[in-house]
Amino acid sequence: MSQYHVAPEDLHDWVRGGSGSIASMSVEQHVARCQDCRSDVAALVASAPTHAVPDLADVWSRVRDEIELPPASGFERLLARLGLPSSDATLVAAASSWRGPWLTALCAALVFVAAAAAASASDSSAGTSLFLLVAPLVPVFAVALAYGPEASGALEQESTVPYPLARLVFLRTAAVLIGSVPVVVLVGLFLPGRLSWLWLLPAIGFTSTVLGLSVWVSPMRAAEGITLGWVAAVACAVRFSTVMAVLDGRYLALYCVLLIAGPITLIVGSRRFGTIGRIT
Amino acid sequence: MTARARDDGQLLSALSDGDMGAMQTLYERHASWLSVRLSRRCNDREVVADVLQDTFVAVWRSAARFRGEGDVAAWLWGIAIRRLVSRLQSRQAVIVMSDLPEDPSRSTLAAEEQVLMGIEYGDLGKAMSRLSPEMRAVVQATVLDGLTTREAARLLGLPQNTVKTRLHRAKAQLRASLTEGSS
Repeated sequence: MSQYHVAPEDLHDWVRGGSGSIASMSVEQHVARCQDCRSDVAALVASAPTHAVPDLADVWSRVRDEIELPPASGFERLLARLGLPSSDATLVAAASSWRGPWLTALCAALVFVAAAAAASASDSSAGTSLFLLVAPLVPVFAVALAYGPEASGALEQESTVPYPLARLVFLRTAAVLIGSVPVVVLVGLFLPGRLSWLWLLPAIGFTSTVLGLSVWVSPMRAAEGITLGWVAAVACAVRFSTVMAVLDGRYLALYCVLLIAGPITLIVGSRRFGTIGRIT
Repeated sequence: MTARARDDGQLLSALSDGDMGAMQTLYERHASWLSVRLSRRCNDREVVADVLQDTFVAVWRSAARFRGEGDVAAWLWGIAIRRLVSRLQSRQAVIVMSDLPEDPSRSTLAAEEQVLMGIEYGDLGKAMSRLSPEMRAVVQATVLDGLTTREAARLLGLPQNTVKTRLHRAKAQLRASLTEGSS
């Protein structure tokens, strides 16, 4: 370590940002090597805080907060990298549909349905009916389970924080759909003809209806109501013509109306009441 | 042994065991000069605060990677200046390099500087002062701050080739004035 030190007034000038570039270069080179001058700098900064240097106590508390926080999960980091704010990423990652058991159960059920459908490759077979009965309801229940107070203990805490509820619901819904729809789509690819993708329309129509209805009732109740209606519709179709009747043009238009009406109802309703269903 | 009595290398090795006291001592010793030095390169106080935060968080997470070779202060600066560069990459336009002109009336300062320069650089200080401010900025970023030409280009907001050309010309000029001075 050098026996020479930076003159006090030069050090003072450097800290205030008043020294020229050559002078500050030499001060910097010296300070980087000299512990005594570094503690002089610390004393100068502490005794008279300058506007140029940030509030060190504040930065320290931020550093401490960050290193004491548990590290984010891999999925959260992925979402954050995709551009989602980190607080949103945490909320999305907490959605129950991303947990292993949930996805495993979903896959198992669908593989079973697909096997039945694939075994009988005609439009009116029992396998096709079964797929058409189950597939549109999968995202509906995935979404309902992600919020229903029955399923989520975290929701009570979440609904007390000042965070727009409608935004929370939409974010979660997106997360849930991204988790569950691809699995069903994959299974659907094994089915013949336009059925393999047309079922998506009632699926998202119903999901959006759950969101809309959740202004008044809990998402789980809404999902149950939709299930009853859908089962009845499919049963009638099978009884009086073929199951493909539920994918007739007129009904497809109805699903589109549901798809658009749901989110609008949720936004308007949550603004007006400040509550969503039993979630207040 | 208290945190105060330990040297920087010992503090760093304590960090990998999760010693928050060592972390605080390290911060108290180094945050001031790092923030002053950073604020000479970026005049946005918020950016400097963020970079300082990133730096110490990175130190906490990578303390185990410090092998005890070289100086802790130099290692810290290496992290800090690279955090600043990557911050500039993601957020543009707020950064202005400070480049105050030399004040010739400060003759009392000049004598002190001579001593400093004599120790650290020999006649390099005089030679540096003959460079244009643009070239000096390039020399500062590459030689003194230890950045690669690519990182220096980002810090200064210049194309990489410009940095290379300026550095090349600056080195030639420095060599010329140093040989001239010794003859």
